[in-house]
Amino acid sequence: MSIVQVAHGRPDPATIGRPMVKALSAASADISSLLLARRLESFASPTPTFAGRPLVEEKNLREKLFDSLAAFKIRTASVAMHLDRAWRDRLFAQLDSLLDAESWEADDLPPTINSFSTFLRMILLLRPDRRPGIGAAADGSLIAMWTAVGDRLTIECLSGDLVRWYLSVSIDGENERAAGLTPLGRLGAVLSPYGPDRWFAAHGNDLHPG
Amino acid sequence: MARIDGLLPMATTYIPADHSLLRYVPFARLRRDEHDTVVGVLGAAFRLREGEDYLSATWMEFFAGSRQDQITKAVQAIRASDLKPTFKSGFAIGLVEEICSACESHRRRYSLRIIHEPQNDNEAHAAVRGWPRYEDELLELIADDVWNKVVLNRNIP
Repeated sequence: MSIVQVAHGRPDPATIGRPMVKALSAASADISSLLLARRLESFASPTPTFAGRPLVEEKNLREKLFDSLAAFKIRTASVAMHLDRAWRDRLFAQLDSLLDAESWEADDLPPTINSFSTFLRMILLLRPDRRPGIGAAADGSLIAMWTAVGDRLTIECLSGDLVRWYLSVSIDGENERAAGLTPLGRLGAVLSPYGPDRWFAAHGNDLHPG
Repeated sequence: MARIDGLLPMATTYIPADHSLLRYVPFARLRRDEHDTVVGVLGAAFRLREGEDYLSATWMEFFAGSRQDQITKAVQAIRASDLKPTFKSGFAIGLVEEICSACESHRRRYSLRIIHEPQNDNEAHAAVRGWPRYEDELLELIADDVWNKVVLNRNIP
């Protein structure tokens, strides 16, 4: 193992998928003091017995969220050629915000990679100019949401390219509601009668590659 | 009257129809736009978790004062409970009458019983019993049109 590998720690999730330039000389110059500091830190830390259970649970949750976030960014990077860079960066910022351990409910399951894969394929299929808001159900499903004035579209991304969707729209002054469980491949077709551009069309802000 | 074995019967206090309930909504279940601006609440905020028999909320009129005072006191009661609202979370407010009416209007005609069930850590706790389970479409409607007034935790003193 080289000295550079020893110095390589877990990256900040906010930086995954983004270019990272580090001055290696500066990092390697401080390696001995870093190792010493870590060693001293381990002496000062409580043993697992004295640390108590809640701390362990909190660490586990943080780790799970970190792992989910990293997995989502790596999966997104695998289809990066289909996404505009600015669009992708803003998506990452939304994911950072959603999976922030300080705002995550301890009882909720972190979103699954299967749900995220469905979400990503949905974005590539629908190609919305406007990004959705992103939320999550307690069971680990990601939820994409678009709101335009009083018209709402909510799409819960399940595993296996299935989506559960709900919409509420006003058409010719009449309110309509619809819902369904649909394979991803048919989502565009089932939404088309409701004029999905009300949600997906750009309003001069976010651009998605055509 | 409710009875607990070995104790005297306790009076059941139903929350009046013209009173309001405040429910904690985690950040992940707030309806947000692409810039993370909160614009409402998701139906998923009203789903029962596995093992939950009722939906928990806080009875706003349990607290005296103006509407704003009631909101503040209800939020402060939740903060003081075992439930610890996160900074980015929010609370949804709905009128009992409208919540019950939406559930009764559903094809399965859910009849709710909304009961004041004080808990050690929240004296204003209310249990919404008979709450629909696996009725996501109804919950979306409730989130959109009924239990839809949102206040953010960070905006409450």
